Amino acid sequence: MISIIKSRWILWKKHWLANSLFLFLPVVATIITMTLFTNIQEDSKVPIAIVKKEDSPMADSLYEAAADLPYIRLFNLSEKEALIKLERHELDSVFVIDSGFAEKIKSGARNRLITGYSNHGSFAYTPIKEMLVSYVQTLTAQAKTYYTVDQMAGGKWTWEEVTEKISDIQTEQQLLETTFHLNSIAGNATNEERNRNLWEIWGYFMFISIFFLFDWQIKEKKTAILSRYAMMKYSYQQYVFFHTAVYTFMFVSICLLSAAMFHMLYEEKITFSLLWSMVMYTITLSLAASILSAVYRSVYVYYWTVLLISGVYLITSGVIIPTDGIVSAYPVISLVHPVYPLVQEKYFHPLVILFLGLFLVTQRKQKYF
Amino acid sequence: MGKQLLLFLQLDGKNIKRKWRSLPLLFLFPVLFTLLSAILIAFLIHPQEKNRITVGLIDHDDTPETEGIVRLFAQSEEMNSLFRIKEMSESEAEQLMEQGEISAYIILPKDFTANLYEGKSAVLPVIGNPNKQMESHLIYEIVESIARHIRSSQANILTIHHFASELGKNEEKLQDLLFQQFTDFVFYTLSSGQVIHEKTANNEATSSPMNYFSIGGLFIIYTSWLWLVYLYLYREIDEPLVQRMRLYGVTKLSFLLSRMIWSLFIAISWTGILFIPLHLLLDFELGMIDFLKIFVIYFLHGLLFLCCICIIEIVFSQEKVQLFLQLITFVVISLFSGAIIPAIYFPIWLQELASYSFSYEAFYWVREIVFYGRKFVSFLCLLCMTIGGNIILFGISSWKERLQS
Repeated sequence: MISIIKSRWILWKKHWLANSLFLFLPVVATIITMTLFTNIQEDSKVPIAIVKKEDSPMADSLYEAAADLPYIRLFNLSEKEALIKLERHELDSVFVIDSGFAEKIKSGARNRLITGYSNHGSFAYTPIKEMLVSYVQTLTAQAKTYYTVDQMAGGKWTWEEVTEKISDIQTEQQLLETTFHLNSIAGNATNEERNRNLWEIWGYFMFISIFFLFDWQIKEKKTAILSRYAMMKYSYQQYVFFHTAVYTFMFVSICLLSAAMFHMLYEEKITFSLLWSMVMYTITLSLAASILSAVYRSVYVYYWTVLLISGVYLITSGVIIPTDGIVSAYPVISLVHPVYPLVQEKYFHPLVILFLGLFLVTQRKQKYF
Repeated sequence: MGKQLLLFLQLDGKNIKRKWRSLPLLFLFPVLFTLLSAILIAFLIHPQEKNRITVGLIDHDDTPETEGIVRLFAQSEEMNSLFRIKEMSESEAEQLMEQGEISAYIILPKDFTANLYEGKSAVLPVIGNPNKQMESHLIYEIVESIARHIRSSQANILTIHHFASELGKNEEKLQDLLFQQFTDFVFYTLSSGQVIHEKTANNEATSSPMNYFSIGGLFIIYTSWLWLVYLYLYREIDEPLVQRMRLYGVTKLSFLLSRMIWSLFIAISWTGILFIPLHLLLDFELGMIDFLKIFVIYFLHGLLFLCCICIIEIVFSQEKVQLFLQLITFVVISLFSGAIIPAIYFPIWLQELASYSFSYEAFYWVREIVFYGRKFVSFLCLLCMTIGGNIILFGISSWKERLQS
């Protein structure tokens, strides 16, 4: 075993840069991607235009309320300009505060106070519409309250007094609150605050790293080298077996390194079930990579195949397109795709058994050239 | 140089003829890949009826008012399109949650209504299923937005209560008044949609997302074909042969150029094949001259993209490093073009960065021609970038050549 590690070390030193690049890829690339992700997510804003057809404090307050929303980049344009931009897909949606807005509210009317323009590509139209409607609704509800009070008391209190009282109540009294927590009985509570995205991204880069580094099996299968295995004290099968073990061990230590790094950077809780599923994931992929690389004779075609598989892997792993819906509809996917047991922290992994079996079978079938 | 290039072009042509059987696979892969993504996105947008998320509702208070609130939940637009609400007891909810049948449940606690009226703190707890966290959070968001409506109604009702008691109404009458106000406000909230007058601003053909994403999808498919065919034409040449070729004055660039030309040719003709049915299906009004312009844009974009790919191959000697960097380049260039996510949704700094990329420029003009019927197209920027890219490619390759010899 020691001789195997020694010889591997000599080989590694020759291409140390490329090799260590891929070895540490899961840690480095995950951190880079996460930083980019969070930066882009924080700065991503939906462009919206609000057209003010009248200049009243009420219209201004509605505009201010929309400007305070975190996910919106607000433009104040003329109606014509805004609609042209909307048609050219430079804006997501346009809202027009119609003239007579404040007048209408004060008189107790509430129909068609604002006009909302959307097109088929407006992703953010509905949530923003809901927000604006709920804001206008608070204004019209105030008017409604005023008229109810007015009816009871017959003009004893003015508009200002009533609206002031409402805002007093809103700030002073304890109004309805909502709380949210996860049920601790169903499911294990440990993965409560897991950052799912982090582990999905890590899983992808681990995939790339493991499969790209398993190219040794193809490189060491060249005809020029094959004849030399006869002189070795190990048979070719043993050679491949030991090396797969050494590589797997190396990737497992990368797992531990990643866990430690993510604990420091993102305060991920390190639990036994997490480490276990990470290690299982790594073993699954190492076995799969060993099987796949045994099939190929050209390194380039192998890389190529890995890239294609990694593309399918990426799309179906839920990093780019959330796949919760399709996975709960077809739970088979979570059995076939290695990333789901990792994310769900399952203890048992049917794929490991499958690949282990395949690995042993292909090992026996490997001809001694 | 020209003679060598011709030779390699012939060689690669023969090579393609020999391996033609795998070409359809290359053709299909990006198309299937795009279809797979489209299916996944369709699943995301239109959740199946049978997996509509179920939400439990537990009513401990059981007053006419809480029934109003239940109705408020049931008729909420967001709630309705995604969720199904079921009334149940707490033990039932616990059990269903363990079986994974419900994603969350909402509890209306005892004395909920009384607390609401008196301005004491009334709490609406939402309990999520730890196995369905994303859905649970979504439900909480919606409950929070409904609670916002209730809060504003509550403040108004309390105000009315305040003024009514100042007028000296007796307790029983007050209670009646409050209840009446409450139901009033529930209906008032339910009909809040009237506030907005909704219009759609577009002509169907130019702004349906289907059209946008099929043109965008084609652009990405074209780019991936370029890369895939380029990789497909790779041939392993061992070092002694390279040495011998160098003695005859053959540079690495000439066989890279031959690969570039072949991949451009194949990718563009495939795109043409795919573009014709798409054009008939989506019914754009494009004349012959527009096709020519789009062809030129695609050509320049392809040339620039292959330049980047080539430069990576020249600079880095390890194949896996090359491939990985090419993958990153491909992803970045595709994202920057705005064909996957429209660029207006990027953060400003990213928008500015993307606008310097050739893929953004190319896709911008394609969009202008296809969607807005632009007649004038400025190729100047793309042309300059292409010339610049080629100069860099030639420069780097001759520098590398000199370094090796």
